[in-house]
Amino acid sequence: MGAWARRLRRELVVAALMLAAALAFLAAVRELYVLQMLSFVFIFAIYAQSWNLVAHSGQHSLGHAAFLGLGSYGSIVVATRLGVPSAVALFLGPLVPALAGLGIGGLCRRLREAYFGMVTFGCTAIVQVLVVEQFGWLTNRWDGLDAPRLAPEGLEIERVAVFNYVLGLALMVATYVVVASIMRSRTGMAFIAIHDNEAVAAAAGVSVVRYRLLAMTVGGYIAGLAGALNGHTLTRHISPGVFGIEDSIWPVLYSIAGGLGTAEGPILGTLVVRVFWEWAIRRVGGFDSLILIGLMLALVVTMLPRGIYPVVARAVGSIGARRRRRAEARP
Amino acid sequence: MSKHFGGLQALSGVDLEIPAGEIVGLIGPNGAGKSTLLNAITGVHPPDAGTIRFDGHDLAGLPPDRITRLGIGRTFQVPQPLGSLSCLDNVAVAALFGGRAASVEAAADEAHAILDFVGLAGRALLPPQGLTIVDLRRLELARALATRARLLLLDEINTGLTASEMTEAIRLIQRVRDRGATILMVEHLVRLIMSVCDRVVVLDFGSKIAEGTPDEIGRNPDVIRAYLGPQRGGADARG
Amino acid sequence: MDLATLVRVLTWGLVTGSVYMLLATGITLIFGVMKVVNFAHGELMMIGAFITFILAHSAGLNPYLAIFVSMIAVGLVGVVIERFGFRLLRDGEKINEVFFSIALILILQNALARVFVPRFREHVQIKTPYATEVVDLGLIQLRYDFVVLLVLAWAIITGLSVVLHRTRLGRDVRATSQNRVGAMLMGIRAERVDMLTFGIGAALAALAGSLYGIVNPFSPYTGTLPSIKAFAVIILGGLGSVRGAVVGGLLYGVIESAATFFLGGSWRDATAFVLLILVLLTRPQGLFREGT
Repeated sequence: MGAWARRLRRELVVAALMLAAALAFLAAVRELYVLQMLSFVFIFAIYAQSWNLVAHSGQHSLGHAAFLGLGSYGSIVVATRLGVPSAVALFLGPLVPALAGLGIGGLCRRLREAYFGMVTFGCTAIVQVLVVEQFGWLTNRWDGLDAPRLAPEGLEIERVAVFNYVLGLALMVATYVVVASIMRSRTGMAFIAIHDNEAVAAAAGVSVVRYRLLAMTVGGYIAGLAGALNGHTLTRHISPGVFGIEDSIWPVLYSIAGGLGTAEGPILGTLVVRVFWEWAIRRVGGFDSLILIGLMLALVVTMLPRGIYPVVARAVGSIGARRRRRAEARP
Repeated sequence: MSKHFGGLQALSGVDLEIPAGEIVGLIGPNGAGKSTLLNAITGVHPPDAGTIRFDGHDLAGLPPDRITRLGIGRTFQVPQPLGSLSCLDNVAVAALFGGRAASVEAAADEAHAILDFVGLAGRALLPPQGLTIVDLRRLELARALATRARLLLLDEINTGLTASEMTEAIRLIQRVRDRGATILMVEHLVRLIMSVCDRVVVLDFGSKIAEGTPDEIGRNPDVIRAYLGPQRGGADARG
Repeated sequence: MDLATLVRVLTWGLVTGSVYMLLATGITLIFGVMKVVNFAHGELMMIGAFITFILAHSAGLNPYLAIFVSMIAVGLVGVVIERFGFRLLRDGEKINEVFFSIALILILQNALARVFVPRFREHVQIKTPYATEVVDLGLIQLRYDFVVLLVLAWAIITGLSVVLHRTRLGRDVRATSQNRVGAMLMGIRAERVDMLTFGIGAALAALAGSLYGIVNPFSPYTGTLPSIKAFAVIILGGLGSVRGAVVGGLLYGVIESAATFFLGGSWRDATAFVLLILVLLTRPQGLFREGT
């Protein structure tokens, strides 16, 4: 336990800072729509973390919405059809996309990047067809399902918003610590090795297939958790539309804009992009704002392939360096 | 063993035995099948016919990472470091997975020691970009050593070195052997092979054409013909 | 099953197969030269369909002529996308090209949607002046449009084959596709080849979309599923292989048509996925090595 905490010292500090900042913000701001927007940010940051983790192993999934949607469906079906309390369903539901991740990861375990992209891209469509057609009896086909509430009964709207906010925040920070922990562990090293060069990783003794599968399974669970949380707290509904292109593109943008390969990046990216999008939607409407988002991704990829995070990190680093120099200069 | 790629017979009927503790050289003109042989042993391109046994294990059908964990390490002809990791971590990964180190921290310690052994201690925390070719080769060797390999396959690890660098490299290889490893070296540089190897195997067009001590090989007319034949340049044989 | 039904299933299979073949050929050509999978191909397809529709619907142009205008227009769009998008990413990490391609989906799809949705709401279809005419072959009757569609697709593909194998441009494309550095050493301007290839791929997508739009209703969002099936065709036929794309596309179209007939409409889209899963289960590295 001690070694783990020592290894993750930096991340635990960041986590504490995030919690403090977000809770302070909560105390200061009571506008419902702002709280709701941030609740979305928390949930989609979890989703982005999931994609980022899988990308960490060299598998750039282009159909991540399959996991997001299956998490929602899993959780809601378990809660409504099996009568499981929502709080439990929240953590059971993501087992469905975890299994899907294992399956899809297994099918793709030897595929190289181009093929992997095409197959994962197609996965959302496959899942959508299955959900609507073959499993329509369970999922209510195109109409979708309503989600039971997670927040305790009898709470007024403001309290519910606060509840969702705090729950989203807590899960986001927890996910951050878990993902950071994985990245620093043996597993994380295996992921990076596979990401950089599979042949070399194998020659170094890394079981490429096993770790690729692990990444997809864990990634599937985390994305599913985001989906389940979204369903029970914010949208209160799930329908096959979730398996569209957009939801597969969001986590890619969030992660890249924030900074691929870091644990903080996806959170930063989700915040920045989401806030921008909320503003854009109010200014220019649905279609144009999505065009802007697409342009944003194109621009980030062309100009800032490492995302915002290194810029931020350097700024923080230089502030720290300046402070240290000043401290040393004092008599 | 034999191996073909489509219509091209890369290896045919190659029979090879490597006793423990020896340094065996594998030479042959370009395209003779040397790298194919290494890839076959390490499970990258398994042979179409024949068996490979290591330390009592049959290597048929095993994935490369399993073969590494059984005790065979290799370097790549073109050094391929893991670009996102520091030199230390490059080696630590191998110690962790191939060498079965107990923890990430233990792997890091082992990696430090190995980098020291190959002479890269100063570069431990740096990324591999910007390393000289000599240092990249040493990193390859360090990574292979970190897997606790008992059989080391070195693929042209000395190409492009100056004379003094080569002398150092020879000394390093001998120190590796003294630590208890068996070595199969693929080389272009015939002089190097002659000075460091206990035995030499010669491939040409995918077949073994000669095997013996360096002296015997140097006097073997088939070998001389293979290197000096009309399709070859004379440069290799001059070495 | 009687002859008439067999012919109907087969014809419909070849019609949709032609669309898949054209899509797959475009994607595989682009990949062969640029080593990039164009994930926005479905969107180029829909833009092509829409341009043909507008020309036919508003300007009264015969759709089969409008197709050619559409192909040129979308081809030019493709050239611009390559020149000002992919070209800039050439020297960076490969994965950025993929991300850019994904970004294009959002941009193109919504650019089309903002024009389309306010005016046309859900779906449109390209109407031809021959919608009711048939070709009578005695025992069987084929819709006139189907025949024109098949002939047109076949003609374009044959033309493409001629260009690829008998012209200097085609030689440049094939050389760049096989060995980019070697081609450049031979004096081929790889950057020009990139632009032209992407333009050709885009034009093929426009053709595919237009043909699709004559026999199916479509919207800005309809392009995704056919492009995914084209991906499946390519995985089965080999990434980079035009022959594989052509044969695979037609074959897949017929299989899908047969599956729909025997198993019912709900299995139509599942066919590609089942095939793909079967292939991946038996050969996890794909049927072909990259670049055949």
